[in-house]
Order: sequence, then structure tokens, then C-alpha cells
Amino acid sequence: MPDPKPTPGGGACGPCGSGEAGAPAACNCDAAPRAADAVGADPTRRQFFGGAVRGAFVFLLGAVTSLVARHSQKERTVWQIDPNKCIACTNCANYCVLTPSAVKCVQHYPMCGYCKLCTGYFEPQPNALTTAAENQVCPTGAIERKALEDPYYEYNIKEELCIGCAKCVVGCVLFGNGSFALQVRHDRCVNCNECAIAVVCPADAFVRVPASQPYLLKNRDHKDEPHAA
Amino acid sequence: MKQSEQHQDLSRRRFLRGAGLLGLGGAVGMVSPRPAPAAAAAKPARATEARPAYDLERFRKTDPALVRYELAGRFDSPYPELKRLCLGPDASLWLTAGKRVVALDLQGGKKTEFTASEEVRCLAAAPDGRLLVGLKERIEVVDAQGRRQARWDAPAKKAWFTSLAAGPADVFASDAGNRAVYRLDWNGKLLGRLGEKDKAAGVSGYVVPSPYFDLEIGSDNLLWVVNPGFHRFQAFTFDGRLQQTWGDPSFAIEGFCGCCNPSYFTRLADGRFVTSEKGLARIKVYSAAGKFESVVAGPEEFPKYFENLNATPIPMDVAADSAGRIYVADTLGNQVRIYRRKESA
Ligand code: SF4
Ligand code: SF4
Ligand code: SF4
Repeated sequence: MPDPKPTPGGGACGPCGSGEAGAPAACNCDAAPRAADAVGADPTRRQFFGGAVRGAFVFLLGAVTSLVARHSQKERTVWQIDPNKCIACTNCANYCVLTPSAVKCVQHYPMCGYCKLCTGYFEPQPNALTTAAENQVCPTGAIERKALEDPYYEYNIKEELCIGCAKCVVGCVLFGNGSFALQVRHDRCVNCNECAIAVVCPADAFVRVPASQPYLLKNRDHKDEPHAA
Repeated sequence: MKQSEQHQDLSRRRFLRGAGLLGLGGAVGMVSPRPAPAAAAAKPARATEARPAYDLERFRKTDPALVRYELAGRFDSPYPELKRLCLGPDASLWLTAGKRVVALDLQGGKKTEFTASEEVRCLAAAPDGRLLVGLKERIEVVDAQGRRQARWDAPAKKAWFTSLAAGPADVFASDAGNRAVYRLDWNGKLLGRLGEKDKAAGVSGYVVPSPYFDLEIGSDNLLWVVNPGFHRFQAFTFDGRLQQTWGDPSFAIEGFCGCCNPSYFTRLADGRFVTSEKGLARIKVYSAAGKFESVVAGPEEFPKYFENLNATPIPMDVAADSAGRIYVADTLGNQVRIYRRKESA
């Protein structure tokens, strides 16, 4: 192996800094240019093929990247409700092409489940805080409330009963954390090209979201709540 | 399995599991605006079926015979995002607006101001004129000119300070994040925690669904704390013995409605309570024993609170001076409203 150190006359490899200034390229560091790479030198066969292979690889990489990009641009999208825009106007119950509507209430437990007088569950001023039908806000009895360890409650929406009327959402948003919200349920929605509810939604709350992540749930960043997920 | 059966009882857990749960914050960038409706897509002609509404109308009107206060004055907050207020011993009205803390005279003239490093969530004035400023996870002590004298970190992780009370020797702080009330000395040293769940002592523990968890030291030398999930006041000795409770959940005027109410309160010089509720924005007065007495301002005084369902209802903090005037932080109107008892009342 040749001595990489300065040749007579002295010199330094710019990239690696070895040797002394003014020296010819005697350094063996990877950064040092080799004679065959000098401008004007004839490329060898190996260099030619090496270059060709590198070019082909770069081309292929570009093609694959653009294909992936195009594919991801074309990911299927579906309709969803932005719960931070929805004003719970009741149109979701009335305008879906399906009966009952594909829009259902969801209760986001990480945001709330603590209220004894839950305004998403009870009528304003109920006769008693019991599960009797006349005390419940839901006109169809779609919300099931179960006491967990005191003081927590769990809510289960019976989706076959929920008509998406948003009455529970009004109660919850007005008084509470907004853990009750409407969502288009994708096990029902037929993903109309033009969602009939989106056309009439007064809050512009319908948006297209990627089919791979089809739900929009509130979180603490929006609601600024200490216990929200 | 039949399709209808498949759709039955999709529980919260199953929904969250199946949904590929997506926090909205993270999702915003992926949401595409909905395509413009086709030209022909005018509103569908389909008639809107009548659905039973969530009916609060009867609670939005107050029986005039119960309103024993009148508006005596109001002035705009010098900055947007008015949130908390308290009265200092030198007749200063301290306001918070975002990161700013401003001292005004009782006519609204500015006396001093300073800016905190982050949003101010609560404040309390000590009898000697010092001010406690609560940030989310920190308490700062400032002098009457707004110069910082001390800074105390929260005693627990994930703190979310919501209210402060300052006595001559003790400081109390409520932490909604940990559902805890701390007793500190003026060096910031933790002396104890009050009101933790204790079945044997009949203490329920705090239920705090949202960051409204107010407290104040009474002239009875008790610490009064709102246990908001239970719509109830609890009074503790400074060493944590539960002495009194009162308050009932109700949409009716005598009770506390909705969730996390009363959101804020203050005491009048004679020991009566002034309470402020969210949802149904109403300010009321209760006797020192907790008996409903009168209304200062009913929901009809704050129509902005009903304009937009998704304008998060921001509760209105209250303070009272020695003359019995009540100062209300009208957060949506961004102004301080001052009420005095009607002469005829
Ligand atoms: S139509 Fe729009 S505003 Fe009305 S309930 Fe549905 S999503 Fe909410
Ligand atoms: S109140 Fe309406 S939206 Fe809520 S669960 Fe019942 S039917 Fe569904
Ligand atoms: S896309 Fe069609 S099925 Fe789905 S919610 Fe809208 S109207 Fe109903």
C-alpha cells in the first residue's frame, strides 16, 4: 500500500486534510480524486457499465417513487363529519339516502364518562337520574348507560336504534365535554358520490377522509380538557 | 349472521377498536375539503322530518321576581380572551386574558400589567397584595407591580391548575388534571392534599370532568371547594377534615345544571355564595348555608352563549367587592359586567 503521506514537494488532501498544501493528489482517502476520474480521461468499460447501472437504478427509483406517490394520491376516500364543525342540526337524521341514517352517535369515552347528571343521556331536568325511558334524552332509547366503578359510566350506542338525530350531541356539547358526537358509520354508509347530507349540512361539516382512517374523533388539543385523550 | 344482527350493539370499545382511532388533531392534514356540489345538487326536496329537539327554552327565561340585581356598569377587557378575574386588597381588579394579567381600577382604568410565559389559567390575590398566578403546571408569585418573586412547580405530574386561594399563611390550589386540592405554604412547600376519596370519612373524592374546579377560603376559615361532577360544595378545615356540603344537580333555578357546575364562585362579605354556571349561563346568590336566594343575571343576559353550539361554552368567572357589587367576566362579550343589588330588593 503506498504511503499516503505527502510526496516530495509537499501537499495536502483537501477533503481529508492530510499532507501539506501544494502537494499532488497522493492521499488514499476515499475523498481524494483518482486519476481516472479526471476530466477528459476515457471511461473504462467497467466505469461505463457502472454508470449505466447507476443510471438505471436512479430511473427505477424515480419511477417507483412516482408510482407510490400517485397511488397514495388516489387512496380511496370516504365521507366523514368533522365533529368540531357539526352544529347538531338534525339533518343527518333526515337526509341520508339510507333509513335509518348511516350517521350514528359515538361516545368517546376517553373524553368523558364521569357525569352523574349526564346531559347527553338525560333529558333536561329529568324526573329522576334513572334509566327510565322518560328520563332519557334519546328518543329511541339507543344509549345504554352502565355504571362502572364510582363515579364512572360507560355508554354503549345501540346503532340499530340510533337515527342520528343529534339530540344527545346537543346536550353533551352545550353542557359537557362534547364526548357524544356524530360520525358516518362505514359499515353502513354506501359512500354516495355526493352525500345527500353533505349537500344540506349548514355547518360544512362533511369532509372526505382517507378510507384507511375513516373516523374523526375529538381530542384534548381541540377541547382543551385535562382528561381528554 | 344476518346483517341486522351484525349491526347490533356495536359498543364503544368495539367502535374504538375498529375505527383505527384517529385524533382529530392528527387527522386534520389528511382531510380533504368536500367536493363542490354538482350544479344540479340543490338542496334535496325531501321534507325534514320533525325530530324531538333538546328543549332548553323554559330554562332560558328567568322569573323576573327572582332577579334582585341590576347592571351597574361594564367595560371592555383591554385584551381579547378575557378569562379569570379577582379583586386585590387595594381595590384592584385583576384580569387574565391569554398570557396577560392586568390590574384595573374599579372603573376599568389600567393600573399595571404583565405577561406570563404561557396562558394564565387562574389567579388569586393575597391579603398583603401579592398575586398568585396559575399556569397549567406551575404557580408564580408576583408582587403588586407584577414582578415575579417565586415560581413553584406542581406537586404532581399532568397537573392542570384551575383555581387558587391565598390566605395569610396558606395557599390552596386545585388541579383538575389530578383531581386534587393542594395546601402549600408561601414557600411553595406542599403541606397536604385535601378531599381525597376516603370512604370511612364519608369523603367522595373529586369528580372533575372538565377544567372547572374552583375553590376559595371563607371568612369561616374553611376552604370551600366545588366538587363539580357532583354539583356540590364541600368545606374543609385547612388540615383536610370535611365540615359541610351543599348543592344539588338540577336544571331548575335552585340547583346546578349540566356538567361541572358551578364552574366558578365567590363569597360576599357576609358569607353568601355567588355562583356562575356554564351551559345555562346564570349567576345566582345562595345563603351562607347554601339556600338559593336570588338571581344576579339569568341566561337571557348572555344571548351570545346560545348563538353557536360549537362555540365552546366558556364559563364566566365572578368576584365580589366589600360593597356587595358582583363582577362578572363575560368571556364571549370580552367585557367585565358589574352588578349591584336593586334598591327595591
Ligand atoms: S347536517 Fe351537518 S351540522 Fe347537521 S347534524 Fe349533520 S353534520 Fe351536524
Ligand atoms: S339521541 Fe339521536 S343521535 Fe343520540 S343516540 Fe339517540 S338517536 Fe342517536
Ligand atoms: S354518503 Fe350516502 S349513505 Fe353515506 S351518509 Fe351520506 S347520504 Fe348517507
